[in-house]
Parts: sequence; C-alpha cells; structure tokens
Amino acid sequence: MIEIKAIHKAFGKNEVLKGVDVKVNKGEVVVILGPSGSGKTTLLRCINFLEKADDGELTIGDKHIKFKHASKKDILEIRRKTAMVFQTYNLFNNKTALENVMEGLIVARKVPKNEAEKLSLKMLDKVGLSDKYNSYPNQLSGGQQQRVGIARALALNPEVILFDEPTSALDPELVGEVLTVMKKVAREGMTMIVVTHEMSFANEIASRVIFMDGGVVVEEGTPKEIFNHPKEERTKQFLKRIVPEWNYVI
Amino acid sequence: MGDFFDFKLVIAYFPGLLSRLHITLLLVLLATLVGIVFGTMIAFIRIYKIPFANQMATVYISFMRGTPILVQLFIIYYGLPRILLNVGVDINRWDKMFFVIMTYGLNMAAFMAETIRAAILSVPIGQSEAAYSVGMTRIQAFFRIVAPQAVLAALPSLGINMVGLLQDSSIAFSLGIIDVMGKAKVIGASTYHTLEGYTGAAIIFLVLCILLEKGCSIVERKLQSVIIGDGR
Amino acid sequence: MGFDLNFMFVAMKESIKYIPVTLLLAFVPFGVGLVLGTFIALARLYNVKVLGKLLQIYVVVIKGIPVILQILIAYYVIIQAFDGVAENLHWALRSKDIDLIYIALMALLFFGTASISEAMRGALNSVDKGQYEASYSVGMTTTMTIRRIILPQALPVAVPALCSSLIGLVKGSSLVFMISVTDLMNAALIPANTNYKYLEAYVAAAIVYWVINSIIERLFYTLEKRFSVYRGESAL
Repeated sequence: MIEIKAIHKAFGKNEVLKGVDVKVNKGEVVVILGPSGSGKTTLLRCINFLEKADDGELTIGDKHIKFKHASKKDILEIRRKTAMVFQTYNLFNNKTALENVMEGLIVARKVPKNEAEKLSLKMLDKVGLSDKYNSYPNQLSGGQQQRVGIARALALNPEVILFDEPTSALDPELVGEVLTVMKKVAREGMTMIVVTHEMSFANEIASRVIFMDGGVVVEEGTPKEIFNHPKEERTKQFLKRIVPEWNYVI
Repeated sequence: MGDFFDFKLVIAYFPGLLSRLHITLLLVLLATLVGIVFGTMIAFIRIYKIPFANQMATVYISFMRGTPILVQLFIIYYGLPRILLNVGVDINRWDKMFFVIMTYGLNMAAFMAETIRAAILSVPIGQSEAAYSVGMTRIQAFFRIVAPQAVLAALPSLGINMVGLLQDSSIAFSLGIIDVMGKAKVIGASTYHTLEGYTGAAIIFLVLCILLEKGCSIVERKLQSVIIGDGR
Repeated sequence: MGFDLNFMFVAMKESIKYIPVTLLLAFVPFGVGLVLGTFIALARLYNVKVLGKLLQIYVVVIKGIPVILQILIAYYVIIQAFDGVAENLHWALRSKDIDLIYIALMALLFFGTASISEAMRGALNSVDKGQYEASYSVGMTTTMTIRRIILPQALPVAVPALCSSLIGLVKGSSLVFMISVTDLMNAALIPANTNYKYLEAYVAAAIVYWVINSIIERLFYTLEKRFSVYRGESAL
C-alpha cells in the first residue's frame, strides 16, 4: 500500500505541487494524466526522492516518513522498496543488459551473484530479450532499452514500480512492444503508478485514473468514469485536446 | 651552399639524440601521472565547490594555464627551495629532474583538472538517477556507474594534453636537463652544426607526436569497446 | 630568505615596457593566421586536390614540432642561407642586418596559422551538412554559401579554440629570447643580471603574462556570449 498525504513542492517561487493526496492499494495500477507542468512527474520523482518534497507524508508498506524530516537512511529504505522506469531509459551505459538488471540486486540488496544472475535472466526472458542479455545499451533499440529498464525494475521485486512517461521517447512502432510488457506486468499483480499519455493503456489496464492540473488533483476515478463521464471542466478540456476522438467512446 | 645544411649529419646525430630519449619519455610519463592524480583532486574540489579551496583551485588553474612553461620552471626551481627552507627543509641539492617533473606535473594537473571535471559532468544525470533509484548510495553510484563513463569521456582530452606536454617538454633543457633537446643543444655548441642538431630533434619530436596521437586513438577505441560496447 | 617585493616591481616596470613586443609577436600571427588558417581549413574541408593533402602535411608537421624548435630552425636556416642567397643576387643586405624580430614573427606565424586552421577546421566540421545542401538547393554558389551561411555558424563554435590559439601564441612568444629578441620576459631578467634576484624577475614576468592572458580570456568569453545571443541560445 502506498499513500501520499498533502505533498508540497516548489522550485524556487514556482509551486509545482500544492497539496496532493494519493492512495494506491496493493496490485492497483494507477495512471496519472495531466498537461505538462501539472506536477505529475514531480510527484513521481518525489516518491523515490529524486526530488525532495518540501512537506507532506509518505507511507510505503510499513515504512512511514515525513518528507521534511527524511534522513539519508529513510531515503535509502524507501528507494529499496521502489523501482523506477524512466522516460529516457537511463540504462547504465557501461553495463550489459544482464548486468543492468543485476546491478541493483547485487549492490543495493546484497544478493549473491549467481542468484542475481538467475533471477535477472528470468526477468529478461519475461520482457522478451533473452537473446540480448550480453548487449550494451548502445547496441539496442529504444524499445529494447526500455524493456531492459522494466526488467531491471521487476528484478528488484519492489512494492511499487514508478513509470515516468515510459513510452514518450520512443518511435511510434516501438511503443507497442513496451506497452505489451507493461500490461503483462500489471496482470501479474504488480503495483504500478504510471505517468503517461497513452490513453488506450490507461483505459485497458488502469484500476484508477488521476487527472492532475496546476499542482492539484482535479479528478480521479475508474477509466470508464474519467474517459466517458468526466465531471470537471478542466478534465474535459484536457481530454478533448489529447484524444481528438474522445467524443466517441474509446 | 654545400656548407649550409648537411642532411647526412642529421642522420648521424640521431643515435646521440635518441640516447637521451628516455629522459623525455620519463618526463612525459611521470608528469602525466602527477597531473592525473593531483588534477583529479582539484577537479573534485571544483565540482563540489568546497569553499576557499575552490577559489584557490580556480586561481591555480588560471595561473598555470596563463603563464609560459619557461617562467613556471624557473619559479619552481628558484622558489620552491626558498619556501621549503622556511620550514627547515633543504632541497637545494636535489636533482634538477625533480624540479622539472614537479613543474610539468603541476602544469599538467591544471589542464587535467578541467578535463576531468568536464568529463564527470558530461555523464548524463539520468545515469546517477537510475543508480539511486535501484538503491545505490552516492559512492556506489559514482564508482560503479559514473566513473567508468567519465574516464572514457576524458580520454580524448587526455591525449591532447599529453601531446601538449610532449611539446612543452622541449623547454626543460633550459634548466640544464639533458633530454633530446638538451643533447641537440650540446651538439650545436660543440660542432657548430646547430641546424642539423635541431633538425634531428625536430624530426624525433614529430615522430613521437604522431606515435602518441595514434596510440591514444587506439586506446580510446579499445577502451570504448570494453567500457560501453561498440554500438550497432 | 625573503622575497624582494620592491625589486619585483622594478623588474615588472622593465617588463611592461616590452609588452608591445609580446603583443606584436602574438597578435600579428593571430590576425594573419586567422585569414590564412580559415583558407587552409576550407581547402581541407573541400578536399581541394593536391593542395588539401599538402596543407594537411603542413599542419601535422607544424603541430608536431615544438615551437622552440621552429623558432630556432627558422633562425639558423635564414641566417645561414641568407648570406649565400644575398651574394648570388648581389644584394647589399647581410644576415646580421636583419632585425631578428622578423624571423621570430615568421616562425610564430607558421605556428599560429597551423593552430588556428585546426580550430577553424573543427568549427567548420561542426556545422550540419544540411546547411550546405539547403544553400546549394536555393542556388547559392560555394563562395556565397561559405560567406553567408557556413562561416557565421562556425565562428561562434571556434571561439574557445581560437582563444586557446592566441594564448598559445602569447606563451610561445616567451621563447624568442633564444634568438636574442627582447620581449617582456627577458626584459624582466635584465635588471636581475646584476643582483641575481632571478626569482623576483620571473615572478614579475609571470604576473604580466597572467594579466595579459586573463584579459584575452575575458575578451573571448564576452565574444562567445554575444554570439550565443545572436544564435538564439539563452544568454545564461
């Protein structure tokens, strides 16, 4: 279970998160939508402390902390309960695909090397890259790199995987392979928080959709509720812009 | 114009000149080592902006890059013993090579500090973020992920700095060091065939320079394969 | 053992008198080198038949031989060759009448041109090939393309490397004492010949060089910022 209460974050004078509450139950897939600048990526990055929130509380599983007073130890503990998949993949350039997946296990979770290797190979199989485990990132396509990124997150068996616009940097024909893997991961019961523009994914897989704008949650509900019967005007405006065929039921 | 330039003499002087090649090479190697070690320290001071040390480092780098090596050589040669005398250490009798390596090392360190700093900063921040997000500490992230990529990024500039050092080493003879250049001067003084002596030295430096550049390219390519793979 | 600050200033005053010499030895090769170096870079870029290859050899050779050797060799070649040539051509001039500064200037000119041509070559290479294609496709000649499209884009990129070249020339000019030309460095040493306070003299010279080079760096930095604004990049 992941819960965020009253999170606030400002960059200089620019307040990006103005008090947001999010609750995600185990096994849920929560998709966060919103225009750029709405704070959705910042929210995600605050969860694993890539940005330091100014105020608010975070609970992951049995660990509870206040953002303001989080110690280095707290941060490390939280990071060891979460995993992130990045928009720009961020695979370790100096490690092969297999080594990328193993890295976190060996170094951060002190898993013995051959155990880590077995697990990592299994994960690479799951994302469909068994034949590329010895390749370096610069030898892989964008879609392949992102799937390695997902395998890397899966191997850590976190309480939640955070997806930061995982397909936004991909060529259109490569988006499909990554979404397929993400749907597989979701169906296997992994808790996921996904920031994305891929409406079809949200509609198919999300348990809940949250719409953010201007640093606050404007509306949330099931995909059906949000896409078919949005209540707020801002939500309707956003959907109209992003999904031109929105007026037709997806 | 037969007296003017005798190329046969140039060839004849080669063995003599090459007999001092080891001094030139020793100078370049040792100074590079000192430069890398000391330069890395300074690079970190500059990256983390450690107060006071950062300002000193900036001044130091500016001075070493903004003054001729000749001037630096003599300042260290005359000045260092005087400073150390104040703390009771007498190095006046030390081998001149020490002062030479010290000067070129300090000079190299200034250039390497900038090279290393740029290389570390050139590693995309996403690499560190991914490392932190799988739970690595800052130190783990640096040594396992950032440093290898920074080393690769620094190699081309390291090569350029080393070539510069090789060229600058031709000044060391003014302190009395008998390297290739020093031997050329000796030949000139004792035979009046100064032009042939210096031409021989010029050819040796040219060949060394080309070899060094080729060597650096090969190392860069090999290391790239090892560290980050060779691309599609 | 103290440091004679007073004498350092004495040496510095002597040094400053010869700053014009140093500036001459650095800026003239730089100015001429800028023009010649750009032509060389263009010739190599366009792979002009024989010339391109020859110029490549020229650059490799000049960049591979230390400056001091270039100065010395230029001196000995000219001094030894001149008398022979002058006699044959029945000139009244003899080698000992040549002001040595011209030899120094010539050597530094060769050196500077090679260094600048490399800077320009790097900058020209950095301009996207698509720019050439676009220019040709609207009907511009090669000359127009270079003058109006390519060079303006290459110059801002070249600025840091050109700064390096100029500073290299300033530092290289400190070597002309070897052929008995008086510049700011050995001017500082002259007063020290009587009292042996060489450390103070060298420190004085160092400070003068440092100031000159710092000013040059500042100038080029400002130049680079102005270029960035024109290119539409953030002025930060």
